[in-house]
Amino acid sequence: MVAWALFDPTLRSGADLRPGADARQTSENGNIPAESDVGHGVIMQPGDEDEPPYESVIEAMQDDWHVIQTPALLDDPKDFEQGHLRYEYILEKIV
Amino acid sequence: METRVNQKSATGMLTPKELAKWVLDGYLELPHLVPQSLNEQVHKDAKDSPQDAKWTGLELDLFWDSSEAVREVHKLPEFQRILNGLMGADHTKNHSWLHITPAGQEVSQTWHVDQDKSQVQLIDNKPWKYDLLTLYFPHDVPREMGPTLILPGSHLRSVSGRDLSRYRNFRGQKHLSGPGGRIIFTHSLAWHCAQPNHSDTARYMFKIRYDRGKMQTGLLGDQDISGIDDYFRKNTFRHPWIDEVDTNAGRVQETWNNLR
Repeated sequence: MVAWALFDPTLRSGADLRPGADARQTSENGNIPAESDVGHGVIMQPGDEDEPPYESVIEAMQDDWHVIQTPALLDDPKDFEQGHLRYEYILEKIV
Repeated sequence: METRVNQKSATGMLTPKELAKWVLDGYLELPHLVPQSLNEQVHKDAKDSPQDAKWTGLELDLFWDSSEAVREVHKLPEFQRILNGLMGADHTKNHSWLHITPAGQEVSQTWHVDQDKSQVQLIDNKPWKYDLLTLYFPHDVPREMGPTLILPGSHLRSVSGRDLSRYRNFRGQKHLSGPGGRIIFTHSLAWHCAQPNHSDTARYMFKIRYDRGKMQTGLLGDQDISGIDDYFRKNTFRHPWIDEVDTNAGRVQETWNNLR
């Protein structure tokens, strides 16, 4: 796994997703947000993490992530001029 | 304001290893390039500049025109050597801007390239045809203060700049944190973004964009390049986020051959 993005719909906007931070403890009393605070969702920002959460998609699957989209393979990769990243998987985890 | 650079004042050129590193990484970082007295004067000038300046397109070069110290920084012989070594003949100064990330800025920029090719065919993005960005940090910038984030090796890829915003984090991304007085020379196709400033102090970074003139080629003159094959052999695959290693090696070689 070389690039990753995480979206968590259960967190409040403004939650801290930096390494070491507890993103759930963002309400004023330091507890997990009340239900009324939930639903805005948080997507990580560039620079939040320098190491991926898993080494591979297989490892993520072993941690109960479900694959909901796999990448389409190109007919002739030799003709591919470098551009956007290939092999992009979309994973979902229901907690 | 467009300023033609006086080539008669150009001194020196890159070493083969500097150019090879540029080809692989898309940036060169020069620490301690600027004397501390100049850094302190530029930092003072920056703090005295309008804090509410926005990107309007109407006041480019505002800080450049107002700060004698920042102009002195960019006359330093080592700066001029790298600038002319990377750009060759007839480049021009397109514009400059003082980038301010206020204290407590919590939002990151999204990944982008300043050379926006979204309206043209992607195949036109050749890494040996580049403009140059210079990033000058006049004061210490630890990671929590929001140094620029850059993805080494990304300049070798042909992308539509605006589409990069969907990416978030990469193995091998580089936070350009460090002491004051650094200038980073950046390829115009290198992916980068400004970072949040979690400190209680504003972060200043002064950027100049230089446009290329004639095609950059023959940048090393007749220097001995006999050790470079070994350098590329050891380093071509060092960026952990790049998976298409064979394609990347070809791109590196193509770029080197066009520039050297």
